[in-house]
Amino acid sequence: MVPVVVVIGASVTKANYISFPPDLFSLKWWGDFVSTDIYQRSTLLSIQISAASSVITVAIALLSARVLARYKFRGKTILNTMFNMPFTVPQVVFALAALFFFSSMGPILPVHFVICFVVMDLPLAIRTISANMSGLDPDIERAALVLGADSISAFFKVTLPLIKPGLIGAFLFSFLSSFNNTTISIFLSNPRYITLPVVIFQEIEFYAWPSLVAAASFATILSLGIMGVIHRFVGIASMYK
Amino acid sequence: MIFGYSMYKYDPLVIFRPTFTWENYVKALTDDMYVTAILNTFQISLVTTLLALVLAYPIAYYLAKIRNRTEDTVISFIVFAPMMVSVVITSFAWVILLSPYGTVYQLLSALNLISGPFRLMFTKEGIIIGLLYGQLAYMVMTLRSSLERIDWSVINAARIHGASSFHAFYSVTLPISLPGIFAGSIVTFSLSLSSFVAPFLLGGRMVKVLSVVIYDNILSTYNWPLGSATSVVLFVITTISVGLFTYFLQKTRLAWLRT
Repeated sequence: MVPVVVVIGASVTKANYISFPPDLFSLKWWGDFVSTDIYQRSTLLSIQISAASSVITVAIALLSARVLARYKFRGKTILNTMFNMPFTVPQVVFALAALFFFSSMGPILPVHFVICFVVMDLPLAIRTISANMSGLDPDIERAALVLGADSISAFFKVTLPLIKPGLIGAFLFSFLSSFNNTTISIFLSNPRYITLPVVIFQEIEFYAWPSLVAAASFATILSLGIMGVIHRFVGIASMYK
Repeated sequence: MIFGYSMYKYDPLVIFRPTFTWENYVKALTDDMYVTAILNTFQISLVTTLLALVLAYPIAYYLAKIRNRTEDTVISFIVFAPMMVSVVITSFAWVILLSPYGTVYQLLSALNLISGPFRLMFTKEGIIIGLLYGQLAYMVMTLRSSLERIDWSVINAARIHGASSFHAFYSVTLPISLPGIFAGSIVTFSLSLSSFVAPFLLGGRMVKVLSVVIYDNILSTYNWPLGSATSVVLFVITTISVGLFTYFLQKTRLAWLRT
């Protein structure tokens, strides 16, 4: 927890260099962060990319989890292992492969970020939603069907509300991991499309100006806030069982 | 695709020429800098994994036995916070703390414990601290879920039959939690092998590890073929070591169960 305090603490310094404990209190670096063009652009892009990739991730994960939970078919284990693959490939290698592949087709666009993040986030999302589904009694949906609902409305009106906490948890978690992802973003970023963590990374390497600490604090506070919401819905601990 | 590029020949003008050559691999496996990088990567990951295990076990043990929900939430939050925040930010915080005249230096020199700049940044130890901080949560979580599955009455039975609390822990609790220890170690080890941001920011370019070497090749010197060869090496190393790790740990486990 100490480093989190350090980052937020160092962002409110008055001095013209990065220091902790801060020299006198001032919000000028926060003002700097909010008004700088590159921070605005990258923050906006990060939020857009993360939102898009988490929506897609949850949609695919929902389908896969349902298929994996309900049906028995050949190659089910293979499918399961395939979904878990990105976890075992080093991120640097994955990022490199993505860079080569996408850049051979033309300039890197935000949609390429989204594809990478969906692949990275899918395993955990499937696991969270599956865990939520396996606790579900299939008879509940069957009851709805018996009472005259067609299978689509039974799914949307009965099953979906029951697994809502898992869906929201998976959504927020995918959002966070895309928002905070650095390794893949560094390889894919270019002057046109650059995400917030990469801007922070490059600032640390080249300028180390206190407004970068304000940017880092913003990302930290957002992340911890989302983490709090995740905890409300599914419980932090349950994400990893 | 990476594999294909890794066979091409580097050309400063057009990045690569599509030819077929093994020379990038020869360089990535025999050049002094690359060998050092491979060894550094291994050493850092191994130490990180062992330290994470030692640090995480008591925390996980405590969390598994906890009955108070508020306390559980607070501790989980503290353990998980580093994982939820971007690794750039936590590494950067360690930079502020550990830099030669940074916060830790100020604290130590105020207490007259140190003279001269603080040397932890740009060393392997600095990288290990950064990695440990980021990956402790994975270890705690895996250990916790395996400890929670333990039927505690088994341990009570051991105690009733006259085992000391240390003996009961060593010969009952520890063997039962071994699967968790394996799983946690494998995850931490492979994540450490391939980690990039923490070694980059905390090691500067003073401590070479494979991921930083790949980054430099691809995005600084634009030697894509050599970078590709290095990343194939990293991929193979990760896969093989995870495989070996699993194999040896299974063997020790069996040996342990026999004694």
